[in-house]
Amino acid sequence: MNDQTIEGAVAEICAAVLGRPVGSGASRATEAGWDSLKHIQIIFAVEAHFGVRFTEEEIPTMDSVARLTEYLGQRRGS
Amino acid sequence: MDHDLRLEGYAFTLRPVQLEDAAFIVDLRTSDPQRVRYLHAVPRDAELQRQWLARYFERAGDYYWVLERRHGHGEPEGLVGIYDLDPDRRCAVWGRWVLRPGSLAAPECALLIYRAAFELLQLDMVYSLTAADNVRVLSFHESCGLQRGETLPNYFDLDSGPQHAVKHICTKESWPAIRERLAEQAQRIAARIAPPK
Repeated sequence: MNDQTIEGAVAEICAAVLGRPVGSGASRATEAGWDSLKHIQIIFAVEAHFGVRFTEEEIPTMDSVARLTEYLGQRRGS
Repeated sequence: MDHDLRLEGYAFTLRPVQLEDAAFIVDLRTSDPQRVRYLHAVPRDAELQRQWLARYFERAGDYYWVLERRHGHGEPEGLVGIYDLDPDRRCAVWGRWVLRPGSLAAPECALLIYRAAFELLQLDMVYSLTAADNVRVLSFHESCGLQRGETLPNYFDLDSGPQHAVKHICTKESWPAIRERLAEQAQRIAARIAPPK
């Protein structure tokens, strides 16, 4: 799975949770509907899809499609 | 006054605010510029906060809690309150809600405050008033399943200027569905932050 595929899958998950189309530049700063409840739902959906588990400290920092993609790309390479 | 109501959740506890919490309250309510924009200004003075708390302890229909972790050393995670309780209409406001930056406690804190309203205080309705520009919190209430209610023009007099307030109402009839939604997320978060076995 390359970075583009990861980014597409992450954006799809975010869109499904937020209930609206989401681009690769989407983040908590740009999406008014990306509130703390939706954030938790996005995190758990990403975990289920990619088979990863974020730590409590990591969860708040996974606040954009780009950040999630970067993290998942690094995990793939490790 | 009855200020000893305590409520245990999955990972967090609501415990009554004490005088000793004054410094924590001041720090939490003044340290994050993003949050301060939407809060009534609090002087950076723990002694003034203690004086405010002393008056609060004598006030009826007002409940102010520290949200703290159930496990470990019970670290404080945030603040929340129910106030302006109207015993005739069985309703009150919930607010004074501040969590430490990065906290995952929002779903459980909301769950606990609604449990306090409907299970401990036996209210028929509780509502929140959120600054109209505070889009993240407005969205949170709606993600919980609450309907956006009326907008109160220039209700808040904040440091940033006057702000409209948006009302979100939770009734005892709508509470079971909201409880289910919040409990699911709160339990998942609790499983993540539970202490290692």
